[in-house]
Amino acid sequence: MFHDMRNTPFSETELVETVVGLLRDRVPTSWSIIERRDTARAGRRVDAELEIRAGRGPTATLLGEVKLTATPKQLPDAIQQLRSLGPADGYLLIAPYLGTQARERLRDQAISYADATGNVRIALDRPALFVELQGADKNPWTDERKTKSLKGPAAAAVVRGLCDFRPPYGIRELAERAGLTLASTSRIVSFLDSEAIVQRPTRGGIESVDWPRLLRRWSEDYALVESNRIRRALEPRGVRAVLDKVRNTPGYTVTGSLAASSVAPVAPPALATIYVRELGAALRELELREAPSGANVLLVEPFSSVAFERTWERDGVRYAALPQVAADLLTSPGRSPSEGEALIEWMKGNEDAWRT
Amino acid sequence: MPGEPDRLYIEARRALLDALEALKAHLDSLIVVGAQAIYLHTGEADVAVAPYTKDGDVAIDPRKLGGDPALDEAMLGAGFTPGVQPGIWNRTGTLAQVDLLVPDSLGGEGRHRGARITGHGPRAMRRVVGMEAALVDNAVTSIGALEPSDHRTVEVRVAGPGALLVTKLHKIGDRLAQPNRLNDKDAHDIYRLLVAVPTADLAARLNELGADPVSSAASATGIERLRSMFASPEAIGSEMAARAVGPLADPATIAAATAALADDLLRAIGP
Repeated sequence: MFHDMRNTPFSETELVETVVGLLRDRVPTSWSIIERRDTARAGRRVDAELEIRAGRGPTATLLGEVKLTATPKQLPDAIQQLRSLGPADGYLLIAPYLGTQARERLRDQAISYADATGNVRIALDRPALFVELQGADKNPWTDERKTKSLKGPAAAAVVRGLCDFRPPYGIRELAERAGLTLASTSRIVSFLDSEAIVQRPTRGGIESVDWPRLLRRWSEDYALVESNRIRRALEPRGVRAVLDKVRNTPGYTVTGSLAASSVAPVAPPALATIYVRELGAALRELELREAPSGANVLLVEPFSSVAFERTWERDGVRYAALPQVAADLLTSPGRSPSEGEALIEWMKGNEDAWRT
Repeated sequence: MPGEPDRLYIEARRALLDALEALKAHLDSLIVVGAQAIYLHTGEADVAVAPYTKDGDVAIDPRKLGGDPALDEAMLGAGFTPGVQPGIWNRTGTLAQVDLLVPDSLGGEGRHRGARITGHGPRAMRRVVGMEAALVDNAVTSIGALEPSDHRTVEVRVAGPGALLVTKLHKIGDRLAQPNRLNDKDAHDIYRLLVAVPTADLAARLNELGADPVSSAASATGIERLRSMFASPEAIGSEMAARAVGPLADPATIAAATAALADDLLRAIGP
């Protein structure tokens, strides 16, 4: 079992100790709680067993499963795991934090729970035992969460800012130019710092950016077709005919092969990839047909408005910023990734042409 | 990007100019048809298949054709040698050939392959079904050589896109009966025409061909073949056009585009 350590400051052992300690503090002093870690039941490993005895009453044994994250989505698996441990007086889910929804679901399923903030509910029939404690209503460790990826619009805006603008500049300036809050910009830059993609000799200032690596790293988390809403279409007269249609027409920004070939031609473009404001309207205005197969046009409604920023124009056609074009090519099918690499090579030799 | 014209294509154009020169006295009855006429209309841009042909096809309007000089004598005199079939004239020393073609309905007596036109040899011209369209849809055009050293230009009638579409559809349909001679390149030439010529223009020309007694039958057959062979991506003609593309284009795109344009054209022609 692999545990996702992303959101929590605990190890499993620390978590069990924290939860048991918290229980001991809150139940009557006559109660005893004995914990056992990593036992086995019917050939299955049990993360923790708790023996609870109220005064001189009978002992209740709970079989516990420890989860370092327990979102509502992850619960069904955890519940099934607990029930597969065989007969017991009760089952206990132990997690750093259980949200309102998670707690409700566990109650419905008659599973006891305990989190490290003090949300506890142990309800047993035999022996009869009931403990309910109120803990935090918000995950106190959320703010500790570190950015570990370049997913999402904020990352897109920071990546584009770091590529489009030539350093040095401070985080605050970058945040302003990228139109983001200081906090999220700072989190994303810290992550890039840890990946050695940006150099920050003095904390706060960005001295240099390895933008080719940044684009390749971004393309691990961003993908043109997966990250954005798209529609595949056919222009029967070919991709050049699409260029004529978007020429001098507002609302369209060309990316992909057509944009790359305008500065660094590789091969005749076979696909027109175009950022649009709204897919349905674009399909109508450009008089394209939807094409499940044989499409030569890819209409893209971007998940981040940064796709429309810092565009440039040639012969009446608006093109996406070259770092955007490169990332789009790196993450497109067919021969596009090699076109993306060729574009990056061209960009390395011509930084003045695209970087401000 | 289109590169240098194919060497065979250069030779084919040179042979065509040689033939037009040899037949100068009959120029008003000649109409350039076939692949070379198609490339004159479609250009070479944005198509992944390089223009390629070794033929220079010339349609002849027997209604205008005079008797002097006899076509076969003029061609022999210019250094062409007769091919195995009537109407085929090989350019000596090259792979290029010029075909002299007469619309079947105007090809004279009998059912011979060679047209029977008074004053000309029986093997000078070949009868071809569907060629009637070229006599109706054409325009005088200036044709030059494809090599910089050759400065000749000839003002001659060139078949219009409507006629070229009809004659190509006839050719493909006729060859369909003999599967070994299926020619994907002819289907791709149809795709070229459909892409290069605005749909409304093509529709107007086809309607004109349908209204003229000389070409109405040829035109009706052509439109019927467009419907049966090209109007869906899975139809045989669309698939043939797709098979002809090189590695730079997606065959599925060509098949879908051919079908979409054929469908548009059929709608524009009306019932």
